[in-house]
Amino acid sequence: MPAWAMLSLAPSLISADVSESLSKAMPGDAGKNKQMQVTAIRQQGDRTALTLRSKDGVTQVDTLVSSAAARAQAVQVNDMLDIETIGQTGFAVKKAGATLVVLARPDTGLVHSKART
Amino acid sequence: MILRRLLLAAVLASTAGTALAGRQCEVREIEPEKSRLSMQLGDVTRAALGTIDDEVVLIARVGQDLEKYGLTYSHMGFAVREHPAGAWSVVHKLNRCGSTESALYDEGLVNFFADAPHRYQAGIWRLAPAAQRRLKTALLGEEARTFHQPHYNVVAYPFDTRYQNSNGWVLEMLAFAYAGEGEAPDRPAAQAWLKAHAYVPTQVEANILTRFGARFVNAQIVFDDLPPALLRAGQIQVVTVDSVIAWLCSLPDACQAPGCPETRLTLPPST
Repeated sequence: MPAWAMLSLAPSLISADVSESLSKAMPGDAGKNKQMQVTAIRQQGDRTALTLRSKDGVTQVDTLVSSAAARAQAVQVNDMLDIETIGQTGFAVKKAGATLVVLARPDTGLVHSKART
Repeated sequence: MILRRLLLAAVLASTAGTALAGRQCEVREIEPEKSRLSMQLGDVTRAALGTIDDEVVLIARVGQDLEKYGLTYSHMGFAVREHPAGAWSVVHKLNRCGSTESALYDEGLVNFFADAPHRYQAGIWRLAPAAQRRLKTALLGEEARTFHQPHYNVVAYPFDTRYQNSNGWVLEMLAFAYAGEGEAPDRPAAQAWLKAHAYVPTQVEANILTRFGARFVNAQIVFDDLPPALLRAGQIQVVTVDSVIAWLCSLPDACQAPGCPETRLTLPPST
């Protein structure tokens, strides 16, 4: 194996703004909804804030998505977005099969990170 | 930039108001679809671990495509059941943002696989119960630090304490776990024990120009811990996941089953 290959063995830490997509814990019962409707959109910094509401109006989720993803899928108010359950861990919010954001259940303990000091 | 890794965790940590290791790091945006795949593999792994009663397992990911070099996994750590931070959590060593420093991290399974892997695949190895018990106490306590050298070197020589790469920390923790009481209480003793128990590192052939070039472009690559004879011969010896597993397989009763079989978890291509 050439030494250059070893360059790729270093798992380094680069903070990623993506985690916002997992930082919004979704209410447990939100997963019962197969779809949610976009009720509000606003720009928040370089991201796009979405407010989603279930058809029965019981569940509301506020989340941030990549503006690039929102633009690519032309997300707009009144869109019906698909909610795909990911095992017992969380949900993917999709439009036309494309993932917009991933939300973690708050009680799984599978999404966290901390350096020891 | 050659070393490009993404970690979901940093901003997650910030939302929880915790100290953040990666604040000084470059901020990148991961594709939402990759976040979904990371969560899916984390969930699959959680489900698999839920079927066994182990306290600690070895867990590895495919951060980079190393198959052409005969290697499968690029990085490994320990998954710990009932970790105080949540469920099964991974304790592993990460380099900080491409610098020469590293730290030990406690991360959720989703975060462990959120490092923009080459392939969404996990390797799990089940260790002997006695080793698990020693590891769990050490990993959740201060002994994990005893075996950590924060000066990161991707090509750290396994039998020198000046530097350490991520898999080197795992290897030394394993030495602590398998050695008799008091036989490997610190890094020098663990390395001596590993040498005495036939650990064989992966060997990398590198001529002087390659070494110079690597050092020039990346501060994480340092060769001054290598014995002069190996350096002159252009033979770099380094800890890899494959070398750790091969060594484990050679130890009698190191795992729960002979040959230390791997449990491999992958996501179907269509997921």
